Order: sequence, then structure tokens, then C-alpha cells
Amino acid sequence: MAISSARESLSHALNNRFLPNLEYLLQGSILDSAVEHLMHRLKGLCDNVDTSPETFHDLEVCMSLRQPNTNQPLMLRVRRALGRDAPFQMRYLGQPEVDQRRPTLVRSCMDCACTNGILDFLTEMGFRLEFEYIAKGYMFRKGRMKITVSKLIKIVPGKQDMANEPISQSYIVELSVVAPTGQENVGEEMRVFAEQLKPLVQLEKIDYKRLGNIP
Amino acid sequence: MQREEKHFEITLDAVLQRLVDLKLSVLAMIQKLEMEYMDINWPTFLDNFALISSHLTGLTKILAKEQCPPLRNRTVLPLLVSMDRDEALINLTEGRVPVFSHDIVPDYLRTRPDPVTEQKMQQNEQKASNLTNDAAMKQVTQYNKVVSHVLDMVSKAREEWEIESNSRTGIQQTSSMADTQLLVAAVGMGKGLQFKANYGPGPGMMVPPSIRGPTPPMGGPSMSPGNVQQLGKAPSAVKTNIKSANQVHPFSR
Amino acid sequence: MSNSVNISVETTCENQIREIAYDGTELYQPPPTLSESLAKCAARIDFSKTSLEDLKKEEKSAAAAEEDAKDANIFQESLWPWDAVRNKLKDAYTEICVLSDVISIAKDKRYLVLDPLLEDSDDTKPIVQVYTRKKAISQAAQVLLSGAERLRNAHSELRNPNVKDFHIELLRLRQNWRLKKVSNGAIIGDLSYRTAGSKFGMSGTFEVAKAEDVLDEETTTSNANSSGGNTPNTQISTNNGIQPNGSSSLRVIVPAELQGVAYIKVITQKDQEDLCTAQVNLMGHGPNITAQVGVWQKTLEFAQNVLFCKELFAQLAREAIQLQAPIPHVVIGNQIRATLLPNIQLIISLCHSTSFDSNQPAPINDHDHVLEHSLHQLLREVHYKNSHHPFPHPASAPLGPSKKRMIAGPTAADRDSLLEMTKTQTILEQIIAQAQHIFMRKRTQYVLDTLARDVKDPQIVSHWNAMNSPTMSCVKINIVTHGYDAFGRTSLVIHVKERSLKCICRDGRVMRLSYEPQELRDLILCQINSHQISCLVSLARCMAWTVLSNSNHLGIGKVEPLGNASSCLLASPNSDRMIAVQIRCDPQIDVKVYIARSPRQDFFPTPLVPEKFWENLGGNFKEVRFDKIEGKSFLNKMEFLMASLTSNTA
Repeated sequence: MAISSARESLSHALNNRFLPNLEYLLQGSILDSAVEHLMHRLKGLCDNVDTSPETFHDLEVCMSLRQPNTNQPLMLRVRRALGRDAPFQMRYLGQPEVDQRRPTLVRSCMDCACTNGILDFLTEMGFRLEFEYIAKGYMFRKGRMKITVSKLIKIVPGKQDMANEPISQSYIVELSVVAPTGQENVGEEMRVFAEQLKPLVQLEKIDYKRLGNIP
Repeated sequence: MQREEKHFEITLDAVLQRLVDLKLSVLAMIQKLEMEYMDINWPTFLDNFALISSHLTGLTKILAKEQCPPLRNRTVLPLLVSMDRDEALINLTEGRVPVFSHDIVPDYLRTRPDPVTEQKMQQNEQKASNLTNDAAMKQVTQYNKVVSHVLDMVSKAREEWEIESNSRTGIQQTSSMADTQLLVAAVGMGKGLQFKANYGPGPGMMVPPSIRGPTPPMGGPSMSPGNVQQLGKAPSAVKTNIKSANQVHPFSR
Repeated sequence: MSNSVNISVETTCENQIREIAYDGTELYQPPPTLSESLAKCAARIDFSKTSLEDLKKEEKSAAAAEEDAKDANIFQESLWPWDAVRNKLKDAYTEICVLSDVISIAKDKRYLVLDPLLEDSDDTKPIVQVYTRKKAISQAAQVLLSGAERLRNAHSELRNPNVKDFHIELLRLRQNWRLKKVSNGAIIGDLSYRTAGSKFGMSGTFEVAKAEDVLDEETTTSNANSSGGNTPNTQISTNNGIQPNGSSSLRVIVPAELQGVAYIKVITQKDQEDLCTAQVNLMGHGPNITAQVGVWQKTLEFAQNVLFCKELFAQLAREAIQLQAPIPHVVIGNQIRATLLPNIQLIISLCHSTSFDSNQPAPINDHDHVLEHSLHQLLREVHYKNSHHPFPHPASAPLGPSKKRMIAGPTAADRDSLLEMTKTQTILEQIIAQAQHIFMRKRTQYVLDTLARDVKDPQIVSHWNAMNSPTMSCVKINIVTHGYDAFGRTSLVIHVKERSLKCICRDGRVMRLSYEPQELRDLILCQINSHQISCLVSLARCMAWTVLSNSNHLGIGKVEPLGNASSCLLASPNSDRMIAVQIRCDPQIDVKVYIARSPRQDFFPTPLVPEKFWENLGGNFKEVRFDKIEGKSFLNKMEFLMASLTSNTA
């Protein structure tokens, strides 16, 4: 196939449904005291049980751009693995859809690997920092499902690295799959997996936009 | 009286509902047998039976309930017998009874029990009639005694079991809904993570200090010391401005 | 013996005769399938007999009854087997319908009402109720008692040291295999490699059952065989062919397609002659734990091996069809043929014998462990890659792409390098490459060994590297003359690859040779040649002889396929003797030595050359009968020759 332009190949990918652009997501949390228990269960359920769980330590920065016509700012997330030689990841997340008929939350999603200049670039474009945090924890894989168990650490400006403290006594647990449109069975697969983590963790579709009012 | 009637009505409704369930599952079973007998297997077969028996148990439970008015004290009294077709009747009985006529009624009302059942009952009656009233009463009380004794034993054992199994699966709380909401809101919208107040004005110039700085291409050490230094000092507005001025012209470096 | 009578022997037919045609052909009834035998069992259920005792009696008498009621049986068989069950259900259905209809009509209150009676209608005596209750309770008690009996039996079995406990064995099984309990109480295991990353579609499920009392089992199976009315369970076990001995209380039932023994045979064939064969099976790999656990371990290992071999072969066959080879690969039945080198073929075949006691071919001792191991390893590698994707970092990055692919964007990789990432070598390609290499290595070894055997004079010593990759090995060749090691050694290194050789000489020359063995042979001979000359030169220097000239490629005489003869011309210290040496190496090493002296003895002044001083000009070269000279080797002989010539002049 001759590729004539990037735009054309993108639309080709979209039309033929092999561009993963939907994220299926279930979220929950686990108390620090029970996280070991959860890890044991995940080790038993996930692929590559022979190796110890993969750890990660990432810094996520959310940048926003106010657009003139809409009151919803455009948000982009840039994530960087700390202490690792890996490219930055820029991520666009769409509005979460909580459909009663679907077992998971669904939102559109675009991932892109970038060089470390991306933040400068976004700043030049007029993006401004919305918030940032450090996520540290473990990730697992089961088929195409990704399970992360992470501690969220707030970055306190004007303090040393050590002083940054976790924002809660729990780990956030996320089960996600990024898939092309039209793969409805993904949700079912995830629901079955989430079922196996009960009653340790209740993985649910949580519309975080609605949580805005809760103090 | 009024209350009793109402109660009776409710019970009838419940019984009817159960009956409908039971009817459906038996029908499904018959259909399964007739349509899929080629590839039916034991497990599904047994599952179907289990379903039927659970409906039966449910029915018995309703009848055995204490609030259930004694149905035994009621008789079926035909009020009207007619040769005319009644559409309402057809609807009510799913087309099984089109007319409520004199020749259908005795048959339909099952005025006599099933012959097999009747025979069994008669056997028992006969056996009973051989005994004197006194002896019978004695047996009954004895029987009651034994049964209640056994019941005591069984319920005691059951109680112990339940206590044991409850204590074994002492479910501790492993997650908290409040934490879930807090964390999800933080990840999704940065709730509790914003620190606008701490920084000076000039939101357009804002840069994330911890990600910035002279990190070598493709990552590098988690936090370069220079960054920590910058973070360590109280960031003054001037400083921020100088820094952002630098950032504005990356090509001049 | 000519008048002996032929007796035909037939097995007794095990299945019922369904029909006898007019010509006498007997049509047999096929053995009942699982659902048929279930149907038969179902037809036997009598709902009026509810007590367990009745049922037991029924079971026991069933076989006998069936014998008796053969006619009835045949008649019944023509009917639908579920008839009895269906009729009962229909009766029940009717009654339920009636009840619900009556209630609905009564609720309507037009035709019927449920009228309250006076309370005194209860005329049944309590003793009658006692009788019915008694019966009901005794039935319930029966159920409980039989359950308790079973538990007690199980418990006493536990005490009995001869009989292994089912649950202990189940625990052992669980430690080594994946098991899961399904809804109806059966235990299903999975012996496939799917959790290890295999994507092979064939299912590897097996069923775990408790082995019943051995004696009982035998009677039921024999019963089943004789009457044809067997339960599903025993039928499987008879078809199974794997009957564990009585010591194990656990039985595994492996699907038919995984039973038996399978292995993959790899043969390298030249023309029609087998060069080497390899068999792949996994038996004997890993620690042998059969001793600690039950016989089922062996059964499952065999089955898993069958599955593995089938997957391997399926993968190879798929690749063989997809690959575009210059000489296409051929897949016929259970065999794949691929051409390694001209006239040399690689044949990979899947052998699967289902019967255990069949005379298995004796294990071939001459099989290639390397190739066997490689095939195994290659598939395992594929499995590993399937299941061990690198985790993305940072954690939000998508799952799946390799590390290389992840940095392709930020590092602005071009189309070529992206395409390069998509290329992978298939198992078949790799195994062909390895087989080619093995073949090349053997050939090289053979050439070197025969040369070392045939050529005694300079000794050819080859050192093979012990560590090598599956497609590349390395040999160092030293050519030395015994006793003259100090004068010179010629060494060269040969890299043996898949279809070619690469020779690196000490002077840095690199030569690439094809797979033809003659080329290597020629090269070594050539090297011997030059070794001899160079050693001779240094020997001569050592003895104070002068090297007048030497040439590795003389360019005289007839054109030889290996270049020309090499030669050397030496003069004695006082220049009164000369030795000329010519070494040819085609096809054998052939040494010719000539000597000449000056002043020549046979110089007579002639009118043309009158002056005496012309005698100092060297005379005619005379050939020395070199083979008669004393000495073990060429250099040894030359040393003698030079020494004698020097002393003559003294």
C-alpha cells in the first residue's frame, strides 16, 4: 500500500478500525493494609506469574488550553517515567461515557510517544499547567487488559522530593483496555476479570465528572 | 374480615406467580426434551430439574407460612355455568378453557383426588382405623416428642456450624468508597492536586518545574539535583518570570 | 500340508445386529454414543419410585431386566427414549395448568369463588398424618444415611494405607496442573500451553474423576460391554485405553485426540539415504516426579507432549505453505519436506501412535540432540514472546508495542527501520538454517578429518570452538610439521555458516567458500603447499643456505585447478650447490627435488664455450629420488639433503 500522506493513513486506520482509540476503564481502590493481599491475587490471575510484578514510577502532568468558543478547556496529559530511559507519553482523554448497557466506562483516547520537548512545545502553544502528581506502584497484564495498582503522590511545591506525600491511605486500582471502536466484547471480558477481584476491590465505572461536587 | 380477605388475595397472587414460574420451567424442560434431545447432557438436564424443584420449594414455603390463611378451609364453589364462549376466560387461562360449562367443571375442578394418591390415603386410613383412639393418641404424642427432640439436636448443630463458618470468613474491609472517589477524582480532574494558590500570578507562563529543567534527552535521572534545588527555594515571582522567559526562547540557548 | 483346511477366524461381534439383509449381510448397530446412553438411562427413570432403595434395586436389576426384556427393549428403542420422562412432565404440566387456571378463574369471581367453610371440616385423624409424615421422614433419613455411609466409607479408605486418598492425590495434581471445578461438580484440568503463551486452538482439557472401587468398576464395565447399556463414565474409560492400576484413587480422562505417543521426527536426507535423524518429544525432560505422584502424571505428560508436537507441526506446516522458498516446501499429510542444499532434504514428520502397546520403533540412537532441542526451544520462544510483552513505561503508554517501536516516534525512525521491525524469522526458516548449518559443520569436519588422515606430512590440527551459536561455528586449523614447529606454522580460521564458509588466513586474507566440500579441500591443500615452502625457506636460512627464489604460484606446466605448483630455489652457503624444489598438490601432494652443483663436474671446454671459468655456472639439475632420502617428513628430508650437500663441499 502506498502511503500518500499521514492524514490519509490516519483516516484509513480509523475507517478500518485498527486504530485503538477507545479506552475501556474500571476503577477502584484498595487500602494500604490490604494491598499485599491484592497483589497475591493479581499474581495468580495475570500473565507472567513467574516474574515479580512490574513496578513503575511516573510523573503525570495535565496541561490545559482554554479555547475561545467553548468553556471546556482542552486537556492533555503528559506522563514521564522517572528514572528510566523512556519517551514521554502524551495522552488525550475524551469525555467519559457511562452507559448503563455497557459494563465499563468508555472514553475516547489517543496516545502518542514524544520527546522531552513536548512540555515546552505545549507551553508555547498556550497550554498551562492544570495539575500534576506522581503515580507509583505496580502493573499487571492479562491478555490485552492492563491492571495498575498505584499510589498517588501529591507534589508539594517548594519542598524536597521526599516531602511529597500520598494523597490517600489507599492505592487506586485501574483496569483498562485500549481498543479500536466496535469491540464490544472487551467490556465483558473486563467485567469477568473485575468479578474475580471481588470482594477485595470493587472495580466500578465511576464518572469522575460527577464527583466534582464532592468536597 | 376485610383484612382477612385482603390477606387471602395477596397469598393467592403469590401462589399464582409461583405457579406461573413453575409452569414455564416445566414447559421449557419439555421443549428442551423434544427439541434438543440429541445433544442434551446430564448437567443441563439436572440443572433443569433443580430449577423445577426450587420453584416447588418456593410454593411450599408460601403455603407453609404462618400468615397464610388456611386454604384448606375453603372450597371451590361454582357460581355460574354457561355454554357460551367467553373471551375473557380464554385470555385468563391462556386458551385452555374457552367455556365454563357443566361438563368441563367437574373434570376441571378435580373433585376427586388422583386415584394413586387416593389409594395411598385410603391405606393409611385403614391402618389408622385398626388402632384404638387411645393408642393412636399415645403414638402421636410419642412421635411428636421424638421429632421435636431431633429438631432440637439438628438446629443446635446448625447454629454451631453457622457460628463457626461466620467466624472463619471474617470479612475485613479492604477498600473504602471515599478513598476510591477521592483518588478517581484526583486522577480524572486533579482534584486536590491543584496548587495555583501557591504560585504567583501569570497562569499563562506556568511551567511544571519538576518535569522541566536540563534533563538529558529521553528521560534521565528521576529528579536532577538542579531541579530539586530550584524547588527547594521559595519560588519568587521574579524567579518564575526569569525562568519562563528562558523557556519562551528555547532556541536562543 | 497341501490338504490342510483353511479356517477363518473372526472376532465375535460386539454390537447388536440391527438388520440382516437378504444376501446375508449383517448390519451392526453402532455402539451407543454418549447422548444415546444417557437417553437409555433416562428411559429407565421411574418417577413413581422415589426411595433410594428402590433406585438401587432398580440399577442392579437393570442389567438382568434388560437381558430378559430384550424384545421389549427393542420395541422401546424404536420409540423415543425420552418418552417416559416427557409423559411424566406433561402430566405434571397439566396439573399445574389446572391449578393455576382454577385460581385465576376464582380470582375473577365470576364463575367461581373460593368460599370459606366452617372450620370443623378437618376430619383427618392425627394418626393418619403421622403415618404419612413417618414415610416422608424415613425417606429423608434414607438420603442422609446413604450420604453418611459414603462419608464413612471415604473415611475408612483414608485409614487404609493401601488405598491412596483421592483428595491427597488431587492436591498433588493441583500442584502440578491447572484444575478448575465446574458447576456440576466435575473437575476439569487444562494441560495446554495456553497460559504459557501458546495460541494453538486445540483444547487441552482433561477430566479428573475419582476411581471407584476397582472390583466394582470391572463388573460394571464388563456388564456394560455385555449388555451394551453402559453409563457415560465407564464408556469413556473403556475407550480410553489408559487404565491406571488400582493403586491410584484418581483417574484422569484425556480426550481421544491427545492419547498415545507422539513425536516429531527430523530426517536430513541426501538423495534417498538418511544422513541424520532427530526425534522431538519432551518425555524425560524436567525432573521426574512420577514417583511421588500418581500414574496420572505420566498420562498427562504424554498427552501434553502430544499437544506440543501437534502444535509444533501445525506451526511448521503453516509456515511451510506461507514461505516463498526458491524450491517450494512440500507438505503432505504428516510430513514437511524442505530442501536444505542441492540434493539434501530436511524431512519433518509428525508421528502419533494412539495405541500404547504397539511395537514402537526402538529409539534411534543416532538422533541429533541439537536439532531436537532447537525445535523445542524455538516453539517455546514463540510462546514466551507471546506472553512476555514488555511492560510500557510510563504506565499510561499502550500495551503491546516493543520497546523499539515505542521510541520509533520520538526518534523519528524512517520507513525502512520500521519495516525492519516487522520482520521476524519463522520457526521453519530458523530450523532450516540450523539444519543447514549442522550439515555444513559435519561436512567441514569430514573434509578436515579425511585430509588430516590422508596427509601425514604436515600435520593438520583442527580446534573446534566448544561454544557456538546454532547457525555459526568456528574452527581453527593449524598446519605444522612435527619437530619443526618453530620454523613455522600456518594457521587459519574457518567460520562455518549456514550455506557458506568464511576462511580467514593469518595474513588477513578472507575467502568465502560455497557449500561444495571440494572447495575447502582445495584450499587446505593449497595451504599445505605454501606451508611447506615457507618452512623450507626458514629452514634453509637457519642452515645458512641462501634462498635464491621462491614462488607460491609458479605458473609453469599444465594449468592446474588449484593454481600452480609452488617452488623454491636454494643455494648452499658457498654457492657450489643448488637445490630446486617443486611441490604440486594436484590431486595429491607431490614433491620433486632437484640438485645441481657448480663448478660442474662434467664441464669440458668446447669450441663454443672454451674458457674454464664457465664451469662455475651451474650444471644440469638432476632429480633426487626424494622418497629414498632418509627422514620422516619433507623438512626432515630436506634438512638431511642440505646437510649432506654442505658437508660434501667441506
